[in-house]
Amino acid sequence: MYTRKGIRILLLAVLLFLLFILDLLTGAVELSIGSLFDYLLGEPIDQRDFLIIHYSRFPKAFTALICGAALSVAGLQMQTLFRNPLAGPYILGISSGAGLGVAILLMGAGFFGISALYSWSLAAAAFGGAFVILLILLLLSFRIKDVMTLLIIGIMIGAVATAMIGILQYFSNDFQLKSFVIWSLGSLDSLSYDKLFLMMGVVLLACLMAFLNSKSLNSLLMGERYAKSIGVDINRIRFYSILSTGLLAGTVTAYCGPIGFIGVVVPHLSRMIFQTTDHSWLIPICMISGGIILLVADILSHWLVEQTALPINSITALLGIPIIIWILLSKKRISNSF
Amino acid sequence: MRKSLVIILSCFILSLLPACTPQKSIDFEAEGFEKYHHTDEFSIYQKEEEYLIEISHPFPTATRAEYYQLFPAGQNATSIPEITQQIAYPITSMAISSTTHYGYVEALGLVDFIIGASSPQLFYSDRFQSNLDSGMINPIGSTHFNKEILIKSNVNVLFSYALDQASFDEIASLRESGIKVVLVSEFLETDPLKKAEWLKFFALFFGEEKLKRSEAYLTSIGKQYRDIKEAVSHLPNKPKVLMGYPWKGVWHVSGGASYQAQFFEDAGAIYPWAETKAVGSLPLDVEVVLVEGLDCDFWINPGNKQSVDQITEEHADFAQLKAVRKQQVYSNYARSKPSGANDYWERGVVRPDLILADLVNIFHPQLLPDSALYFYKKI
Repeated sequence: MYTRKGIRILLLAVLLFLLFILDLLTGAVELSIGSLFDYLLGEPIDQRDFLIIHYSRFPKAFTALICGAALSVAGLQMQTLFRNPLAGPYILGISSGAGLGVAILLMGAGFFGISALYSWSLAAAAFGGAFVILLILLLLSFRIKDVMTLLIIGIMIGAVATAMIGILQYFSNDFQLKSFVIWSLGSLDSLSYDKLFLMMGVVLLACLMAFLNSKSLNSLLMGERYAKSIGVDINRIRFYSILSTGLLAGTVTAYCGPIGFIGVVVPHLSRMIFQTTDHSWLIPICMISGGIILLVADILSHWLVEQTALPINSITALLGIPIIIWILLSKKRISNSF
Repeated sequence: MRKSLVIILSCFILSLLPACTPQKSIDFEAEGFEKYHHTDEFSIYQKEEEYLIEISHPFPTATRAEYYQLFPAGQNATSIPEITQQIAYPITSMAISSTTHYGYVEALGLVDFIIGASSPQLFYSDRFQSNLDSGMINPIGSTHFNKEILIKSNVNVLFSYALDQASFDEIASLRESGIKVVLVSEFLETDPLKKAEWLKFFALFFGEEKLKRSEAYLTSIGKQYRDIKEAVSHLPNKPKVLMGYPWKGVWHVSGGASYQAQFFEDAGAIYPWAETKAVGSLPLDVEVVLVEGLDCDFWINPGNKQSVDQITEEHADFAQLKAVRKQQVYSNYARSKPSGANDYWERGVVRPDLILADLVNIFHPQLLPDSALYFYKKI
């Protein structure tokens, strides 16, 4: 059993590696596979090819990997915590909170007398917005016993944040609106290496946090009463799951904008392909599968239009929605997992 | 767990503290440079053949200036640590990201140096479109820059702009990959003549001869602008003017300190929102604008509307406006294309005298009896 899973994971990792290479070869300008391998082996190559690989292709492919892994693990934790197949990393209003933070920064200057000062302002605004929502939810999670009530409150808080974004948009000028719309389309480009490493660090830490909680997450699938009966501290698991999800979704949204559907779809695909509900397997599988799906989305976004890329958010939606519909139509198979 | 929460909160607050760092500015005089020219948004300093350009606001809410150092190719540049970009001139290729940039480049006769442009469909010039069709100009993106095309084309300088921190971050990423990016904040100038003076900024990248050409050009259009303004200032009657068009119940009108308001004042018109301090636009409720606009003699720039009928079909109540009743509605779409290209935003930037002449022609037709409208048309 373990060997079969191990082989499947190995195959998945090989697929991830091949797609990573394919993504490195995909972009606005042609790049030979020879140049890429010369770059990887540290051989001298044409300076323009070096700049393209080093400053465009690598950051883009790594961002796809990290975002895919982060959103998938975040989605997995939310689906388990709320025992809801349609829960995702953004279900608790974390994305709306990040969006509100960015909206305040980009469109609220006139309202609040603030201005963007530093290169990390946008990421700080998005993360700050997500963090505020997260704190409210964490505080509520101590008081509210029923997980469904918490879910509903999360959705409500998200709706309030969305309404506030609407108000800011209503009073914004065309430049501000354009900036916000561009941010909300999501993008894997333009991340410098320092931001990329920061994002990778936070994502690995939050994924590790989730992995260390695997056993408790497994017990939650049997119901909170059962989990309590075997000695799981429900408040503790809620706290770490929400914190981990907030860090994962908040960081990704801060740097790449809201990227939808990956977080909902990948955990289901992983459960179906591997026929397991064990989180110690599912978390690494989700990380690899999430990377695969986002790499595919990025490759498609470049292939569909010559010399440019379609917004990544639109591609993940176009890929993700048919999968969600398929999941809904074959509901029997999902309910077995919760 | 509550303790963990306090730690997390504290970390987050601490991470925001660097925002208190004060900004640093460079003392160019101490480096032997003398001020050569300045507007509200840029200053040029000179030391022999070397130039330093200070951009006061790289983007509207920026609190730190940017500094570009231009030195003759083949010579050594003075070493100044805080410089944002060092560029050897004359440059031989450029990419542009706004139609206004094209206006400056065209006025200097440097169109064939353009090898890349973003959103090329928005450019009005036929020469630009033919260079685009022949492959001399490559599209370099629309919502985001295409970094790879820019690297591959080996462009000397990308003239760009930033609207906020988000677009400024993208510029930083382009610079990290070795692309020389220069920010043009001409859109922040509120005086039409100062906006035209960015012509000197562009000329600097191409050497002495172009700089002289830009000075002669600016002297000529500056004189024409001031002559028209002077003639208008003696007129006793000033008509009242309404501007803009509502969208989803909000009517954005230009603020009193804006470029547009300055044109109205110089063209001898009374603008209802002239006393407001806003440099950008003011989002107002339609009712508020209608109350002010009811007795306005003229209505300028009703969006992209092509006829008064089109306006009244959409908003029957606008038929009550005096400007509509008297058929005094003017649009700046006289030189535009279905693709959205509009010469007002291209050539208009270096021909404020023509825009002013158009407005004076509309508001005070007796003053310039022989001149026809150029950027504007009656709809």
